[in-house]
Amino acid sequence: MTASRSVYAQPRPRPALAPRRLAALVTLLALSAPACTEQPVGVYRETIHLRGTPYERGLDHGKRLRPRVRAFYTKLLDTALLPNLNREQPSISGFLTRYAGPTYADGQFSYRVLLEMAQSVESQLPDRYKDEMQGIADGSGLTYEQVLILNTFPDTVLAVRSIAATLRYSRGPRVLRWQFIGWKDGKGEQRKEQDYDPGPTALAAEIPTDAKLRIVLADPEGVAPETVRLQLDTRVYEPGDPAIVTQALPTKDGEPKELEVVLTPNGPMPAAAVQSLIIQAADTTIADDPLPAHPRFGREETITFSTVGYGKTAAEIPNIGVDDGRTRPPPVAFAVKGKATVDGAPILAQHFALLDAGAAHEATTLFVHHPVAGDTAPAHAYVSWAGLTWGFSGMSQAGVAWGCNFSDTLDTAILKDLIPQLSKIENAQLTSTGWPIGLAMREVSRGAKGSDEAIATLAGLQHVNGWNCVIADKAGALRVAEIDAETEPIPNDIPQAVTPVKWNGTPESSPASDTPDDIRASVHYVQKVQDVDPALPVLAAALLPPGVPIRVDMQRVVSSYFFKSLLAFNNLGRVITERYGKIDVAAAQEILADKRFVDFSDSMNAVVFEPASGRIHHAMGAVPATDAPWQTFTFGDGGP
Amino acid sequence: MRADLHLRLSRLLRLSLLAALVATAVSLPPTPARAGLGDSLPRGTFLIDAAYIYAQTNRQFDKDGKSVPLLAPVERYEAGAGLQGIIRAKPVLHQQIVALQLLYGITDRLTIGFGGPLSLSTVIYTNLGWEPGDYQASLGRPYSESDFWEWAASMGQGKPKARAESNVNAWGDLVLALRYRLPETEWMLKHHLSWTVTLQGALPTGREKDPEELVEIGTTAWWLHNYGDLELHLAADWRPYWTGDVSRLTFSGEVYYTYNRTRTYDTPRGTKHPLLLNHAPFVGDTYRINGGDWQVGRAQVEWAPFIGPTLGTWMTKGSVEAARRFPPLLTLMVQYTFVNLQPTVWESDYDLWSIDQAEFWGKGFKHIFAAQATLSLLRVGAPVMLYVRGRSLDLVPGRNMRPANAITVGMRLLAKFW
Repeated sequence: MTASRSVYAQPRPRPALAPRRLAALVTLLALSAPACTEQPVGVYRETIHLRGTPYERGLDHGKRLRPRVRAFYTKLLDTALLPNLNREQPSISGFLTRYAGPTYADGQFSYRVLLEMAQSVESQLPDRYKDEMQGIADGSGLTYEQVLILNTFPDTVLAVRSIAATLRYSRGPRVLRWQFIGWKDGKGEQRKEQDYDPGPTALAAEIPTDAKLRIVLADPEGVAPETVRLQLDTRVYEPGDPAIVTQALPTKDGEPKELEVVLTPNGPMPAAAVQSLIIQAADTTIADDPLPAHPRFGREETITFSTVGYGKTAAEIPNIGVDDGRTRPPPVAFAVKGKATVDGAPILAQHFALLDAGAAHEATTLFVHHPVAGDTAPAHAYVSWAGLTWGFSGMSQAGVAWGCNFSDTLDTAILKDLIPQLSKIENAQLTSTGWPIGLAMREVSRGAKGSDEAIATLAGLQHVNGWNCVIADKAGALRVAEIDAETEPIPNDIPQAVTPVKWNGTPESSPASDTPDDIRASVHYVQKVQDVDPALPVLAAALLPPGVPIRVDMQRVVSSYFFKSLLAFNNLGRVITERYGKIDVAAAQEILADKRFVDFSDSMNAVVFEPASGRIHHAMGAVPATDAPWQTFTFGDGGP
Repeated sequence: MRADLHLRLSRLLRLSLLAALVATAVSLPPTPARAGLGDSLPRGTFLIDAAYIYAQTNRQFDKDGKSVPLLAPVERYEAGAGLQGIIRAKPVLHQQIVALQLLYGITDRLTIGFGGPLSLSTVIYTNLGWEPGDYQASLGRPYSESDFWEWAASMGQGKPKARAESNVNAWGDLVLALRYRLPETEWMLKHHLSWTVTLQGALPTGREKDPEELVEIGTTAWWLHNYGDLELHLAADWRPYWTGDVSRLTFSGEVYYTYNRTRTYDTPRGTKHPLLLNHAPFVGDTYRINGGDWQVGRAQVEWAPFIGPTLGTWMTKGSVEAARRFPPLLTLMVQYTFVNLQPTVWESDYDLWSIDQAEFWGKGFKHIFAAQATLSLLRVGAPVMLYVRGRSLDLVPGRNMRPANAITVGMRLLAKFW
């Protein structure tokens, strides 16, 4: 194995050497002489070339990056993620009672849960990845269990997070119906209220500027009127604002209690404009475990509509809300080619953000695996972190590039494993039998010669969590693979876990593309909009004990990322359109550094791939990643 | 997911490092007979010097000489939810020390000294503050300070103590010193010039901080940062103006070199602060600090405005003539010291941690101004000298240093048994 280091940090002083001490002793002049040299010493990323058997690769990896592997594990897991995940124990153990037991007490909950899920992941993996992880453990001094958790936690934690967030939001109010008072139909009559269903486009169009906004919220414990907070475009109506009028609606016993909320804006809304309404409310109870105590809020909902004169239908207006600068953008990825790029060659770019925790940027590494005799897999590289056997983006020497964004869904391996246990919920255990996305993409890099083969490879694997992977090959085939676990009440032989998205002839029929030469993704599904099997909520309701607060519902209904993903996705589409035909590597790098796509606290890496020429451009090692200078690796350079 | 509490708050560790500077003066004091830096005790004379020192530190000068708090504001972000808030800390360190020294004139030219600081207490007030950040949808409000620390506590990390006291009656590194008054030439004698060379070394008797404590310092020379492990001084006095046997004006100069040895410390494992001080898994069981050497230049002027009455007493066996050789009743002194600091370097298994620790410990310098008034009662029959001294390190900003201003009240007792 060989390694090269990248240095970009500010110069930092090196210690003065002994001869200088002597010089200073001899003469007063030394007092004003330079006492040290300015040498850059901040090393935040490395390029590691790996050769040999899987175990040998892992061992070299572990040895060479030993302190970084250990720092990454300690800082990200031991002192950040694991204690944070322990906060979810009350909500999860209230649902799955085994997690209230002694095995999971004394702060062991998160470690035990992640280990048990990691072991269920491990059962799916071929020996080559297990051997590589064993090598990393032996080289770094971590235990194999720790390395296994390190290599599986993104998928398993995200899957747990989906459940935990759903449990949390399930306890808060939901928006049931909406209505614009003063918005009349063709007969001049007030339009009736409509059921609320969050979606990627506006709810309504051509609303009168003096209309009032009426929504109906519902919660089993009742909605607390004093918690209703509305934001109409950039104007915030805090709880108690006289512009907000609430009224409890009569409901039947046993049904959620409803609260009518009417917002009378302080002045007329602007004409011919797109407006958004952000709705938040809590129920009448207080959540105090874990602290800090707070009312139980439902998911923050975003409703978009246009006012009279805008001239588009609701379906033509994306539901992007208002970009008030508070929202941290989720990961974005795009691929372009042909008329979209300067030279027609394909480019794939991604800016990934999830969690830095003061640790990830110190561990960033480009790993390059070189084939050895007898191995038919091509050389392949991925952008990753010390201790991991995979990354969220990468490329093979065969010219297949990919970048994967997580996609919040309840259709995960956890749910798939949980369904058979629902009848004995008290003993049910969280496991996640399937492939982490990074290792699934290692399989793609090892075997796929093009984007469609990549899709086929992914379709042949069981996945742990939801993902949106943008894939581009050197021939210019651009694809998005929308992935989930495809949990079904009754297992069948038709694999539907991977939904391919590609240009389908028109922008209307191609939800991820505006032309044949572009495709993009953020963290919501654009084609797999029915990610949860419709039978699942019914099954869950039938099997779960009464009062268990879980909604098995679709991504757009439960994901806290949904609205911010819509914003990022649509912003990305606009930028691609603006730069259409002028996109090259430099332009792609500029796009990734656009503040609309930069999470300034949890950006993790940015990459631009040129699958036709085998070049990988990466920015990482800083937060945000795009603050770091770009570096380039080219297949064929090979490394020493 | 939100989880990066530890990284930002881990800077609190630096509180203990940055606030370590207190003022002690262990180097040999001027001899009782004459003022200045370049003289020795008369043969057979004992001198006991005891001083109470109060020092305070509440800020630092960065590499550009800018005055900044000992802890930079820590912006806390929550993944996907914006700014939780900003932790603003204005820690203040109060240090009380008694500096004790015993000196003895082996010959008229050679003086030996032994002494060191006894810490009465170190009190650190963290003065943590909070600036609320963005509205948090999950809470229905921005994080308040109590919200934030409750959140941190739910992950196992409580709020650091507002007041932490340590080093109660704890010795620092004791110092052993030898001063030799070099032979003078005829020309030097004619012009009232004297010079000395001093070698002093610190013994490892100081208390190290508990590595698991967040807000604490130790009492070793490294923590006190006022004297080194080994020092070699060259000093000279010039006394151009005399009244009888009393020098009314003394100009002194001194240069010295301070060597600081590399020290090895136990790395915290987070047994008390699991989220903030769990460093051993990647830093290693121990780490090393090379304190960086210092080169020091000092200039001093002493003026005796009032000689006072001179009596023949038991000390001089009734001889007024002999008493006239004692110091004047009142002496005033001003002093300037320039300390050139070579970088302090952390060494561990994890280079990035080491670099981070050294952020404010690059090359730098201190400008130290001091003034002292000494009341000597020797001429009236009491073998006592009382003095009060003030010291400032922030009149002129330094670089990469923590100014510890101090006030000292001290007393010297003289004894000669043969």
